[in-house]
Amino acid sequence: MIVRALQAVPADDATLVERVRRGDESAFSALYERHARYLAGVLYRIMGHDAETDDILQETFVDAALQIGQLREPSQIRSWLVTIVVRRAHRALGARRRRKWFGLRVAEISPRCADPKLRQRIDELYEQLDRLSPDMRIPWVLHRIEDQGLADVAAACGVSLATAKRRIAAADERLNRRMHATG
Amino acid sequence: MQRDDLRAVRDAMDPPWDDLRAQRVLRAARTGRASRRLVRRRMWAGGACLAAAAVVAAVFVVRMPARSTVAPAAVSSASVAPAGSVMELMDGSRLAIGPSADVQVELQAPGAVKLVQRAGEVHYDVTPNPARSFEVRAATVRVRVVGTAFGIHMDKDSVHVTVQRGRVAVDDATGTTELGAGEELKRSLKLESAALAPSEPEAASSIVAPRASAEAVASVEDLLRRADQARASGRLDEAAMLLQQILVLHPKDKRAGAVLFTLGKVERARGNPAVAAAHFRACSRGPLAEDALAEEASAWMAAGQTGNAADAARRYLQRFPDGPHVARMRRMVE
Repeated sequence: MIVRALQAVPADDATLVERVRRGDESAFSALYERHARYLAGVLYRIMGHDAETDDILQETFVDAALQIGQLREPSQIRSWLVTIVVRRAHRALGARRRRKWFGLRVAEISPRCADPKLRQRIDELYEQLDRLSPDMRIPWVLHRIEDQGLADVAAACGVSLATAKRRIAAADERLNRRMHATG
Repeated sequence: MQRDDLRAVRDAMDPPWDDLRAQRVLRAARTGRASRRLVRRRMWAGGACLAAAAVVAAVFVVRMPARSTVAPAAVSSASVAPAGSVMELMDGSRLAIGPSADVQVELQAPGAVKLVQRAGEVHYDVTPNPARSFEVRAATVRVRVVGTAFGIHMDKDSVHVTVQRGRVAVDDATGTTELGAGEELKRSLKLESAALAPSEPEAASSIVAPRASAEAVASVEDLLRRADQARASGRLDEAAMLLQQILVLHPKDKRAGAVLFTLGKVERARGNPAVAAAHFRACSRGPLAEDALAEEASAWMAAGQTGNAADAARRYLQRFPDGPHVARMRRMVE
């Protein structure tokens, strides 16, 4: 007997979300495969290293699975997932700052970069970002590095547009001052 | 930093990402989700226990305390199980819930588990425990088990019980019927009046036993042809039913292994990976063993059961160290 492969028709995000809400495991996997890689990149650039990416990403998808009933616009699931990633990253950055206060260092995995000058610039940038509070660091990374619009940044950080603009401007000012000071 | 510099930072700051890492995070997410749900249910159950205990204590205080006949409070977690998923109960029994199924857990207590199935197809894999009763009510039919694997498919007209392993007792208006492995019973919900008159020529329920007469039973070729047509047309429920009929009516046919394999593929397509894994496992000794073992491991992984997936992957690696699925199986064991 010939065993035929069944062809799957790719479903859009909204359809997959509805299926996840009905308990469809394959739809959950499909959403994960569609968005995990992107979220890993955003997370990596927020955190500055790869040590905690897997843990935060895993918790992001657990949160998403358990809270998916609250998603108002299923077609906007990527933005919603970024919101969850931001919330988790904020918590992790806060914990990291507290560990540093107690003299505990987290083992860091430096970014891969063939260009030594670029590598040095990245190291300097993230050294200065580590001195910013998560409230300033995250919107700055989302706007300046991820190139997200201000409205998207505000939504991801759960703040008003005015607050997002103000925090990004404050981060700009401090980073420019400190990085010029270090030459 | 200039905009171009920041763009270069973004391009350079890209985490290494491959299938292995993606699957590892997904597995961890599934495990984390199941753990959080279990914690929530236990917290709910714990709350219900405390509430029930408070009631018992209140009764204790009000009445004479000498010999209380109040039974220990049972844990009631009336939770609705999501369709298209695998649900694990507190006693370790598992439900593979079809996409259009509707099943609710009414009671989970050390001595009793009760569920109500209202629609669709659910497969029950019940852990053996003679000290615990396990029953599923489907309309006017009640299925009681000790330790077995069985399925209930119901629609508005009928309830269809099939047993893959062990024995079940089925209660309905006609009385109690025991079914063993390979047997099935179909109860029409429309012919309830017939059930009250056993002398009627058409019985309200029928049991299909493994050995039926050749004239009354469709041939394997006919059932396979119809199952193929159903699959090609996307009627996966019908395809699954037809393939299961082959296994029940023709259990010794030499094509049983291929049927089980195909049934596994159909169940995967229907979103029942745990059920699919069981079918693949059942044909992992015959001529399709190599692919069946690999499919079993993949199906367990899709069902979120990483331990079973790793176990199947190890069995594959032992038996087929040079097989085409070795790389994928090794990743599951790591």
